[in-house]
Order: sequence, then C-alpha cells, then structure tokens
Amino acid sequence: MVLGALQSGPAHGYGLVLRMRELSEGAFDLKEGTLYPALHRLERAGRLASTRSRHSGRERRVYSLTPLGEQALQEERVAWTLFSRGMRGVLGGSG
Amino acid sequence: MTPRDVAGFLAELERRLGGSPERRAQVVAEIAEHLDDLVSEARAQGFDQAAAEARGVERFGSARRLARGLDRRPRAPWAARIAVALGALGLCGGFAHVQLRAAAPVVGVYVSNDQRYAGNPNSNPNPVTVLGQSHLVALDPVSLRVLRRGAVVLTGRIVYESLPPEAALVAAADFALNTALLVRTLQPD
Repeated sequence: MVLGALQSGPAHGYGLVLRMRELSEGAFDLKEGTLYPALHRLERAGRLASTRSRHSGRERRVYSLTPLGEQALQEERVAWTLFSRGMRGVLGGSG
Repeated sequence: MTPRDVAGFLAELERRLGGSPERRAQVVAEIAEHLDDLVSEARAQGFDQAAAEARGVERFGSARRLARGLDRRPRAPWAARIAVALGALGLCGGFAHVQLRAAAPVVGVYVSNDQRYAGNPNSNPNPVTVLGQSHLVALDPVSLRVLRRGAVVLTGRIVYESLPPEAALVAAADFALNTALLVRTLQPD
C-alpha cells in the first residue's frame, strides 16, 4: 500500500497518511505507528529512497520509489489482481 | 506507560531507539515534524493544546513499540527460512488447488463413518472429508471449519464428485499452511 501511494510522487510521512486516506476514500486510515516502521524497512530494502527537502517552509524527510520499489509494486499489483479475481470467482461477486 | 504529551513521547522514543546518536536524532526529528502536523490539524479542529498533543501521540501508539519497529533488522537465516516456507506454500497451494479443482475422480467429499465424531457435541457428527492424493482434511459441512486432518479415512460414502469452491479453498489453504509449517520446522537453526 505504501508503495502504491508513492507512485503518484514523493511524499513525507504525514502527506502519505493523507494520500492513502484520500485514495481509499477513507477506507484506510494508516496509523503512524505502523507507517514509519514500514517506511524505514522499505528504505533499508532499497525499495524507497529518502531525501531532505523543504515543504511549506519546513525541512521534511521525503520518500520516493526506487526502480526496485517500482518493480515490487508491479509484482504486488499482479498478485493482487490474481487474488481478487479468484476471490470474486469464489464469492460470486460481479465487481 | 507512554507519555501523552509530544515532548515526553519524543524523549521516550529517543531513549528507546538504538543506533548512533545521529540516527536517533534524525528519526526523532522526523517523528516530531509529523507530530507538529497532527497537533496543528487537531488545533484547527478546535482541540486545546493538551488534547491535540494527546491525539497526535495516540496515533503513534507506544514509544517502546515504535522504537522496536524502527530498529528491526531482517535476519538473514530467518528470512531464508521464510522464503523457503513461502515457496512451499505457493507450490503446495498451487498443487492442492489444481488437485482439488481439476481432478474430480481424485478429490471427493466423504461423509465419514468415523465413530469418534458420533455423539460428540463439540464436533459435527456428520463431517465432510476432503480427499487428496496424500492429504486429507475433515471439514465441518456447515462452517467449513477444519475438524481434523491426517490419516486417510476410507470408511465413508462419497456424496459429491467435486468440491464446492469454498471447501476447495479451505482445504487448499490448510494443506499449504501445514506443509509450510512443516518445512519451517525442518529448517536447521
């Protein structure tokens, strides 16, 4: 989810929470206590990169996808498509 | 107990974080920036300063848990074990799925005559048993909860030639999970 929320561009932690809330139309309210460990873990794994940059007059740590992160996102997307298609078949949904 | 004010929370986080002083300072600065935003947001909604800080801190949970999450490093041997288990999970899940879905003559649904189920109020007296080539699970026909797994029970009568998809899914997941756990158990420390 974090990788997906960053595909539209770099963001700092607070911006990511807002973006995920907006993209999911309020369905996902990711808590910060979960978000930051995930961000740091993804960065250590080389899927995210972070830089210091100025936002609204303040210095912020901003995260962006690396090529490895883009690739991981693509793989996650394929896996999710297969899973959701399977679940739709089992549950008989049309969406 | 985690303090409910921003300064106290950040002090406890810094005390609990591992790594170099520079790294700890960077992490605390990043969390402080985020808390600033949360407090401003709550103030704009009409909360007083103390309540706004408490709301912000609450979103981070306990400082101890956050520090532990931020410090966590993947351990290579364990990661390798998980990779093997997940590989097995995928392989066995795929195998079970194909077996259960495509091979109607191999996979059947039994109503068992196993007397252990008879008269047991905690078990279904009429369990459905899913047969695979080398694995068997007994499912509750109503809830599809796994009642029993292990040796093949052949004393029953076939009631379906193929599985309802929900039963196939449960059986495949059970088969894959148990195989993955077995692989994990067999990994040397």
